Amino acid sequence: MPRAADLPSFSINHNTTLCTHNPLGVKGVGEVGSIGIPPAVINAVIDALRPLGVDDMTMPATSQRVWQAIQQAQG
Amino acid sequence: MNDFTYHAPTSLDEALAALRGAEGAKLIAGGHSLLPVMKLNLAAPTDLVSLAGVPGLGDITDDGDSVTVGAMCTHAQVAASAVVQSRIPALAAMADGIGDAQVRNAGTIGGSVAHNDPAADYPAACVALGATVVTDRREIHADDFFQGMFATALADDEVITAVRFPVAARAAYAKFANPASKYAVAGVMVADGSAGVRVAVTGASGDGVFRVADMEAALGASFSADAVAGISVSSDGMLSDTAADADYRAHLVTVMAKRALEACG
Repeated sequence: MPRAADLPSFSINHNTTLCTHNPLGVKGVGEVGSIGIPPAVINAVIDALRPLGVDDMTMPATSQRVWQAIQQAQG
Repeated sequence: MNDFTYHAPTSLDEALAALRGAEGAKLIAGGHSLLPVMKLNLAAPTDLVSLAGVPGLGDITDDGDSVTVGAMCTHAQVAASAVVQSRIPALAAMADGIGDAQVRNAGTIGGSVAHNDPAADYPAACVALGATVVTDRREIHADDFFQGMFATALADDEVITAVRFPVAARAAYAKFANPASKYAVAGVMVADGSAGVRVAVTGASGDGVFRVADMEAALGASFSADAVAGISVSSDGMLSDTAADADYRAHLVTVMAKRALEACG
């Protein structure tokens, strides 16, 4: 049974292959399906608050942060 | 946690004797406030005197114009009590919103008011409803009982036996709960009862429960959410932590007061 100590040394290199399906050429890895959700939620928050003058929101959008953003936007 | 001697008295007199028998003795009821601070070595009592075996501390009685809740009643018992639900539904609802199911099934009303955590729910209910804390030797009105963060009018060797709540014509509690602990970030109990119209706030101030005189005056003229909508409290002295800073807490007091009044119907 080979164990970790039996492994040879590795040389690790990047072999870049750009994705052809989007302008940035980027690919998702790991939990790729979850990556789009936070910006979608935050964009929805900003969209909801836009009439109040809010144009930015950092994660996590806690109730306090939302309230503070409204206060700041309304000066 | 340091070693301690555990006492399991079976009468109030035995409990008092055990409490007086050691300088570092502390009472323990549900243990939900005391045990965590003992684990952190913030408290190191030499002796723990359990009230679990003392009879007569677990009853909830309808006294007509008031409801008396025994000191060892758990939050779950208060929430599920037919007497409390029918006479002071706001109190049952408040108890049902304390912590989580484990906390509600172990934590007691006596322990909560004796500890006087500035974010606990019961102090707001006691002050808004004009409750009386009954001890082994006297009765203390809620107005005199709560004396700032973790401070009460209790003597070192005094034992709470019950809390008596006058029945209110209408009352409701609304809180903005810490999502993890369910402690009140800001909790407001409004009551229109024998003590008049009262607005009591917990969770927000570093000094613990307080009343909002401006809101009470406005509600005396019109008992409605609109009456308090334009009344804000100062952020001076408000708690500030990761859940909410002082300004946001002050804002939440007005929001919770409005929600409580809307719940009054």
